[in-house]
Amino acid sequence: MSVALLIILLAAACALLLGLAARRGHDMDLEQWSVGGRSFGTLFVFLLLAGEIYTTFSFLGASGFIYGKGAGAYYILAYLTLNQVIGYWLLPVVWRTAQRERLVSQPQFFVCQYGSKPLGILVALVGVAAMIPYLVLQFTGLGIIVSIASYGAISRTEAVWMGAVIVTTYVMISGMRGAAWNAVIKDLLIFGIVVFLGIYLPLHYYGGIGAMFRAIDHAKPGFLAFPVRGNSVVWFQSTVLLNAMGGFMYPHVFSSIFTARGDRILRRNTVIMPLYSLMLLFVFFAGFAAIQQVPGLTGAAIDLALIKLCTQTFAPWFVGIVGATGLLTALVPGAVLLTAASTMLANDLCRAGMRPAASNGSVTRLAKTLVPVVALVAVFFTLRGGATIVALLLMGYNLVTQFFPALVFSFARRNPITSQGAFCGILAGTLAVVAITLTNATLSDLLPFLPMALRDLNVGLAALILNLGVAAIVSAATRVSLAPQQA
Amino acid sequence: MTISRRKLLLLCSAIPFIGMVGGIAFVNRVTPFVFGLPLPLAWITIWVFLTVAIMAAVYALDPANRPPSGDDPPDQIP
Repeated sequence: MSVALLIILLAAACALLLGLAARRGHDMDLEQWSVGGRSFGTLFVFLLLAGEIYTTFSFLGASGFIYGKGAGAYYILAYLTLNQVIGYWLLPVVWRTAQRERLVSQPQFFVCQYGSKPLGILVALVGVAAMIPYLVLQFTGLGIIVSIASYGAISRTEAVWMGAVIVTTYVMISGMRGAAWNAVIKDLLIFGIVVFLGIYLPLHYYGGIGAMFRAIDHAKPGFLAFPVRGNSVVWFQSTVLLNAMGGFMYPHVFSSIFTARGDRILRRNTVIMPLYSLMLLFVFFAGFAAIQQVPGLTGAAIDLALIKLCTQTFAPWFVGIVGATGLLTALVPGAVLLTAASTMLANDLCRAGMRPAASNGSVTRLAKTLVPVVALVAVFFTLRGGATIVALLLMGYNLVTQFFPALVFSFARRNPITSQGAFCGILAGTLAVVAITLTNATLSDLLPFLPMALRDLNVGLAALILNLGVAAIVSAATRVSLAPQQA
Repeated sequence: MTISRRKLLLLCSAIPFIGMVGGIAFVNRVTPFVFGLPLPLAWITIWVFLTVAIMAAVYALDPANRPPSGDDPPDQIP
């Protein structure tokens, strides 16, 4: 057995034990299991929300995007920062509502704000549809990292099953607490690894970060700035704004927000978080370093750039540590996703839709039973594979962004949107996203009269505008029809 | 009085958007390298720091973070 394999297996065992031990001293009722009893302080909330920044997507995806597309990837750093600015104002009001009403899931939040059960069911359906591809992505990344870092000793399929079994086991037993405890180790490891790789790789191969950029600019002129077409400045601006709005809309992010024990904790977190996301800069450096060192990766293989450069540069024991980090990077968001998805299925679809009389206890039991089911669905899609995953992820992101208008307006002193308006708006936006994704449409296909400069606008904007338009019209219509009755 | 102050702080939070997203249109060329970074990446990085500074000031001035109104429950071991 190689050193690398040994280290990866050790990390897997540690993750499992720590996840199981997290339960100690707590009765796992619904609130404990799904939102950690709303008792987490600054550090845990920080790590759970930071887990969003450092998923396998940013580890492999960001470096791969840099490697394949260059400047376009800068958008990740920009949106993660601006997302937190929105969060400063949004998270405390979301949290206060959740605290007052003892909410455990995002759909409940919408039910509470709009007093409409159908809206909650729609939000639950869209949320689960958006979370599955996100979970698939974690498993896919895990498979890539562990199989390459173990030098093929663990196949991708075996790695995916291993990860799925570990995360399912500790989520069933410890819920959000399992995720929180693993997040501590994972973030310490990834912080160290990413900063080290981002400094060492350019230094080792080019003599420094500045020298590396000069070399890349020389070999590929213009690669380090935004191109005129494609991932252009307009694309950057629209994508950053869209994702900054959508960033906190994932249902599992809501769960992480609910774990906080005070609203100031959330504000403090959103102020500091951009500094933490600066670590992406080092991921970028590592991705840039790979361009001339592991040339020739194209298509979906660009995601392998970072990990291939590692196996080519370092001794097996270090590759093992990188592999172990990759494993944890997938497990933490995976655990949060599994917890949130199962809670939503049990609480917001089964209880709200079919058995309103069900007790908290039976909902908790059902949610825990659903964990392996959700995990199996994700494993199925992971192993079936294909290039469609990135498309699905982008779709997931655009899907949850549809919640943003209804959410923000619900805090207005006089909400201009009615529950019917919110329902129809989200439905229209969702259907538009699905249609756009399936047909691969771009904005210039939809609106051929657009001036050249605006053609690279992110197509997700179209769905959001449709959402707002439908919400406004339906709201106006329902208000008119309701007015006589109220008078 | 407190309401208008919060509105003012909310407006201040728009500065990072204008700087990072709006400003990028004016710095979209590779050179000059700033701190060794290509100009657009340096621009975004500088704005990350400026954003933290602005939001730290907003946090300090925000009445919601003063003791009686924003209540932190006593510490607990998670």
